[in-house]
Amino acid sequence: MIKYNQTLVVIEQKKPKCLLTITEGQTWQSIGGAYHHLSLIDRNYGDKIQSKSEKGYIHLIQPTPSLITETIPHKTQILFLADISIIILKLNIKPGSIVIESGTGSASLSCSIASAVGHKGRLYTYEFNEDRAKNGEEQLRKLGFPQAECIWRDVYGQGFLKEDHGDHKRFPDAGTVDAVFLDLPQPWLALDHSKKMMKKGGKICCFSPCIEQVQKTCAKLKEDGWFGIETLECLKRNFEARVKQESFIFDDIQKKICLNTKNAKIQTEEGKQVITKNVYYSTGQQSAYGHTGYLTYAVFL
Amino acid sequence: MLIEKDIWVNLEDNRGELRLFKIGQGKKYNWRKHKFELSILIGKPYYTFYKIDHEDKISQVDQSYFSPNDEEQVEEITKTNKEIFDRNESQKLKEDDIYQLKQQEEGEDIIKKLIENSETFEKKTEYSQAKYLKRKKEKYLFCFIVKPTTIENVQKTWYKDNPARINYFREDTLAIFMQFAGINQKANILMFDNSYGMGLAAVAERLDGEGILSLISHGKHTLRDLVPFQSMNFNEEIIKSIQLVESYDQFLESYSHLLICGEFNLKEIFEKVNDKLTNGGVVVVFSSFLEKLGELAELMNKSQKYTQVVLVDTFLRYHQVLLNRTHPRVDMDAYGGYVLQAYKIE
Repeated sequence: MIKYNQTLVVIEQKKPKCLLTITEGQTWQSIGGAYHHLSLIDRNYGDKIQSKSEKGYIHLIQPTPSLITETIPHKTQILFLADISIIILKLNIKPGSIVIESGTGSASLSCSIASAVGHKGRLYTYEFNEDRAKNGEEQLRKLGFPQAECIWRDVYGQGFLKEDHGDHKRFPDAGTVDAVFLDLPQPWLALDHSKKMMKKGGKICCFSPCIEQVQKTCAKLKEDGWFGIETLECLKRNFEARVKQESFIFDDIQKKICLNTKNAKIQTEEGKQVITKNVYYSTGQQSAYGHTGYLTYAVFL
Repeated sequence: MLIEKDIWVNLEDNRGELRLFKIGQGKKYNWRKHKFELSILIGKPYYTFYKIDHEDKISQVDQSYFSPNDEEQVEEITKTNKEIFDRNESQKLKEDDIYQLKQQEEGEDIIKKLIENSETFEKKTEYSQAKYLKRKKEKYLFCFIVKPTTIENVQKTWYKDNPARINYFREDTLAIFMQFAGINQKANILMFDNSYGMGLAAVAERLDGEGILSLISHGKHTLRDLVPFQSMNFNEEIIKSIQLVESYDQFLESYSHLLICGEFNLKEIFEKVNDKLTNGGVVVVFSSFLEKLGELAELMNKSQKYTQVVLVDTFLRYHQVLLNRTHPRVDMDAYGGYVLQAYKIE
């Protein structure tokens, strides 16, 4: 049931619209009307909730990683579904994994990783911009991921380990990390720091938009004896399922064929018999990302 | 972590071939026309390297033996292939000579002899020489690394060897399927799996034994028959969380996830199971056929009980990254099937 301080996904017009934190005394405004947060309390997830003017309605459901990616506020360019999913699969991130991520960005990938490692695993995510580090921390708390820790740190210079001046945050221990993900302009500068943290057999993934960065990263990986280096890209295309009414005005022979098929309706229009049929078809959507970045993986032995 | 008996492991050889083996005492394995025992692995750590010599004897080797860096080291080209003609006369050793060598000598020595007896090797460009060496090493040396099984390498092994058996469930399609499913540890999952247990393994791993997975079985299979699932070496807890279901009255009251992978009659499943899904629950379907998913999407959109249906396919391409020779790989899998997702609402 919906309670104060929960963060939920608003579904409006059958599509995910944004994240909403249920707060005392607030009202959410949209085209369909106003929604007092008080009126949302104790409703069930997925219930149809009418606006005050009853002109529109919304649904509130619990956030899942793919919904978070679509609705989280963008502080930087974020990673989308196709990249996130292949990162998690190929880094073998599963319940109990210990994962390092840098930089946090908008925390879109962080939420997906935190969800995958579960309550038994840990995610340590590092961000060098102080505002974004604070935002990352806030998002992870709001969305319910206590297993994740967002740390303000410039990893090129300082690496991933705890430094001596008693930071209250949790840090990973050297040699315990299963997977490292780097989304940095110069990932080759963080490879040695990553080596210190990783278990034997741990995997690293570097995301770089430009091929020059990939070449530099691969050269350093090979030089330093990393194993199983591979570079790939992963993109997705959307399809839409539609139904169209196609009408047929036929002569007698074709009428016979048409009448034998299901879903055919016969109407009389201006003295002529018009046969219409529901045609189901799927079509691709025009806009798609042509490129997001290259993903380079390697194993630490 | 050390390798134990009766555990499935993943082996990757110097040609990039993958195999899944269950380590058993005294059992002989067949690979690349060699027959050998793997009991030497028991008690060894993972990520160690081994070679098989011409007498089928297995011995441990170094990482440097496995990963030749020949192709990387070439920096400048000084020659061209202008004077090299394809006349099949370049190698002075005959087929019979090579066969004799294979019986008697180690791979490295055979390669040395082949190069010595090649009239054109010196004339080749540096890139060609590196490629030649790499090819010969892949052919005459047999070595592999032993790794623990993961969803990634189990899927890759099956997909390379027998993709039809796992219903052409490609790695990026499986990845998107899992991301769409968004499984947390409190989930009640109803699953239909036609991918020989590949999809089931990925879902069960993520559920980690903390929810319930009702798997529709066709009556003939048990979990023991699903080889990709067995290869994951799951513990008791995870296996107990899976309940095999044969009829509708064995279903739970309600489910938070409906997952379908493989070819099924989607309309029938939708009609029968639609009510069992809670509000806020998710439906994720993988199929190789867009028409099937299109029909299901239409049913869902009409019922007014689902968010806008998301229907995607994925594009996956690997790249070769070498100095001055970076380009996408020529071998590409052009088609990986489609995935559908929608959330249930009132």
